[in-house]
Amino acid sequence: MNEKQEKGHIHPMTQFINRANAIFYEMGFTLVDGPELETEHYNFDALNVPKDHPARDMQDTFWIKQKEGEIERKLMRTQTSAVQIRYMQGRQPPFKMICFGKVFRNEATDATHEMVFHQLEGLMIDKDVTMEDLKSTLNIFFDKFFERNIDVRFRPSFFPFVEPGMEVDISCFKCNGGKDLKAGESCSVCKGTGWVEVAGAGMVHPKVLSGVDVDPKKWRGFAFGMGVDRIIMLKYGIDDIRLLYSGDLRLVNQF
Amino acid sequence: MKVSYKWLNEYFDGKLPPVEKLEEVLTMNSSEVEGIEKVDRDYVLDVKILPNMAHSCLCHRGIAREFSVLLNLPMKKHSRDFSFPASCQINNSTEPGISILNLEIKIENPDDCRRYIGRVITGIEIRSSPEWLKKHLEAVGQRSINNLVDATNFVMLELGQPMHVFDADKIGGSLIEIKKAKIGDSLRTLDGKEIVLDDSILIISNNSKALAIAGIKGGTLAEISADTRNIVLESANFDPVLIRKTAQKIKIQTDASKRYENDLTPELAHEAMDILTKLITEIACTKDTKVGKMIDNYPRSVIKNELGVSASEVEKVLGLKISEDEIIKIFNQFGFINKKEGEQLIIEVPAERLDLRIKEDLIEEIGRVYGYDKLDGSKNIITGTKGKINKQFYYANKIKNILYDRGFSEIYGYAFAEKGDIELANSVAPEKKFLRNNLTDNSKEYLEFNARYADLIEMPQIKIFEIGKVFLKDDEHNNFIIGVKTPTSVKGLKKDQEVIKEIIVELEKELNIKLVKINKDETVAEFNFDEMVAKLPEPKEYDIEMPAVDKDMRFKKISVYPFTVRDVAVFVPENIKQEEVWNLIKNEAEPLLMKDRLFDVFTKKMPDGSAKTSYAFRLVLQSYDHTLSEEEISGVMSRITTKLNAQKDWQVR
Repeated sequence: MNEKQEKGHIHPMTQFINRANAIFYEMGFTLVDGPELETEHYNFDALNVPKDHPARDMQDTFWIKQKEGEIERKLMRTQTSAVQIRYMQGRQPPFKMICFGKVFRNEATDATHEMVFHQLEGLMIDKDVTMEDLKSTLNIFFDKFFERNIDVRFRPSFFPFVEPGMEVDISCFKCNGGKDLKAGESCSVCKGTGWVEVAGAGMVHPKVLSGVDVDPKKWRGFAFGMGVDRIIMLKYGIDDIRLLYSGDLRLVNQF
Repeated sequence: MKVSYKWLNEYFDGKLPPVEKLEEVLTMNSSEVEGIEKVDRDYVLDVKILPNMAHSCLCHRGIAREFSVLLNLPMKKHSRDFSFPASCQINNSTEPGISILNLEIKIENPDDCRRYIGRVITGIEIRSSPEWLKKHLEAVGQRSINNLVDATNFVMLELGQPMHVFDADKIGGSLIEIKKAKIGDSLRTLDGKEIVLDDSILIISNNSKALAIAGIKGGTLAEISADTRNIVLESANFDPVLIRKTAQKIKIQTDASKRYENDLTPELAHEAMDILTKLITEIACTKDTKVGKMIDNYPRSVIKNELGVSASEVEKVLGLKISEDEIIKIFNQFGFINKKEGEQLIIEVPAERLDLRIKEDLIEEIGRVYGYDKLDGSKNIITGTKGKINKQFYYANKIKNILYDRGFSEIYGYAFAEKGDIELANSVAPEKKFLRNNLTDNSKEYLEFNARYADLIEMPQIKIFEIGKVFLKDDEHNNFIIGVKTPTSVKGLKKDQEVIKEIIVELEKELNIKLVKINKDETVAEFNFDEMVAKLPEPKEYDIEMPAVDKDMRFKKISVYPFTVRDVAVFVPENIKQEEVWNLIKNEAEPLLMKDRLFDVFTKKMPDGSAKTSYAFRLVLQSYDHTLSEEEISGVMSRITTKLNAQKDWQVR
């Protein structure tokens, strides 16, 4: 009998970060890690999300049970942006980093919502980084990632740690921004709109920078955060996000 | 927030563009429209108002203002005229000294209550509201109650200022105090809830009797009823943090509390009181109606702010060059009073624009009106310098690749578990109360689970691995597990423990270090990944070729119905290729064929001298919409057998 070893399977999330990292690495971004169990300071306060502010409602948090005498509140990080703060602290700009990892939200789960999912975060701070640099960076990334021409567009939005803040859409990678659709046809990825929402982004808020001793008058730049699960699900047609975290090889072994 | 197209249009002369155009303009330049609903002959836009816009846009005027700026259309101050009706005989007591009920407003702490305007109107009548008012409210999902309550809701939806009305005769006096409650006080709300108060909660009171929980909900003591004749109107402003904390404490959120907790300018209270008064006299007056003067307690009036930015500062942030003239044009579209001082273009920040505090806020206004589509996204930003290597990531990939080569599948397991060292304060389920402190526990479950589907996933022996975080007291680090499980029905494979032992040896050889197993289990081996990596040399390049997903790969939906396994083996003439046999089988078995595997091939010399090849296939049959019956299964199998036997010199075994 043939002793040829059958190959195993790498999780699609790992495949994603490998490709993303390779692209960003070539662009000069360093992959950085941070803790999943975070403090309130790094996850909220340092990101300009003060206590008792409606902005806290934007993310439902898993809090850690506080022990006797503990002053600082701990939580499971709700976004990878906390890693940006840790990275900038104690270092001098310029900064060019990405971070990939799990984030946790206390939400009801269903086919499109899980309590844990992955984000890809990016940060670039230098003397004269602009919103056009942000748009161009994302353009290059998505072109390379999807191996086709992708358009990027911004819509005004709000995140406490950036100003201006925006939502980022990309032209649909399935129907080529609607161009490949025939009359009356719809698209399973973009529902016929031609656009897919993929990330939040913006110019890092001066308060966030001065909080880590970076002079916002001298340095400026952008940050972005992508929800990776959504991109993978749309790209491959995965219909239930929970399959990505349940150890189910009926999903993994397809890849 | 729901806004009515018709209501918005009332701010403008002529007709607004069609609702689809409004949706596009708002979503691309202001706030996301989450949906449009047709209600009667109106359209209702569901607009997502984020915290920065909530100071000024939780009302129709705020949204109308957005359209005025973005479509460059002049707008009116209100959606309709508000004036004292000629039909009613109003005694508008504006002369000092003439006031009804001698209303007195006392604010205990101006940090808690930044402004309180009270006003008495006597001789009104509770009636149902006129049609136009009902229609406005119902369009945006508000129930019509009576003319007074409706009027307060209308003003709130028009200007964003929450309003309240008390029955003047039930207040118990002429003094209204805004102060903290006492521990042990209580208040019964208009919907029958008994709220226990304490000294952190701000109340509207008379003689220490709580009339309302400030900014959130009114109480029954002075509530409006069908025979109310005299009323006190409230137009006030409270500290956002106080309102938010209180609303969370007493677990009551209202349209009013939502607006207060997002912070509102106290400047709005006066205008709101003015139009509410006029509206109430219009729809609730009798011939005896008398209007008192505004008693305005405004301890610290808001100072006007200025904010300036230069064209070069705008360019530094956006990257896009916008001329000074263009910027001034945008300021004028907003209606900002502006001036030029050297390079600085300075605006007077309107009171309600609490979101305009720093230059960047103003740059965002300029950018979004100018249009983000004008940003150039084709700049070449690649400098040639690469990033730094992440050692953890490098070795994770190295290990993953080795395991991939040896038939292992990667899993991402759940971070929450039934037991652990660190407990969640607000977990959703008892089996998810702790953070996992090892990977083995969950892995054993995953092995069990996947063993059931071995044929479906084409893994006769389940082999998994994971690299992920575990959480010990004061210690979060990455662990790494490999697990093996042979489904009970399968024979003839290497024992699970053997496979584990072998793979550990292989890894140690490839990495050139000794692996320290930290658990006792023999079929699931766990290691401290971070400690492993610390022992390994610094990588110089990302030189590991990881497997890539086929670009056109499509995920195949997983059926919830049970699957069946059937084998088919056939002798064919030696020269017949596997594909030929397979195609015939596939034809008959589809669309129920989920998986297939050639598990045996051999050639044999037959008694008659000819050489025959045997191909044996394992078929996995499953349907997406039902459990397959015995008939269906044997039906497929017999069709396959017939088809194969029909070929010359083919014999199904």
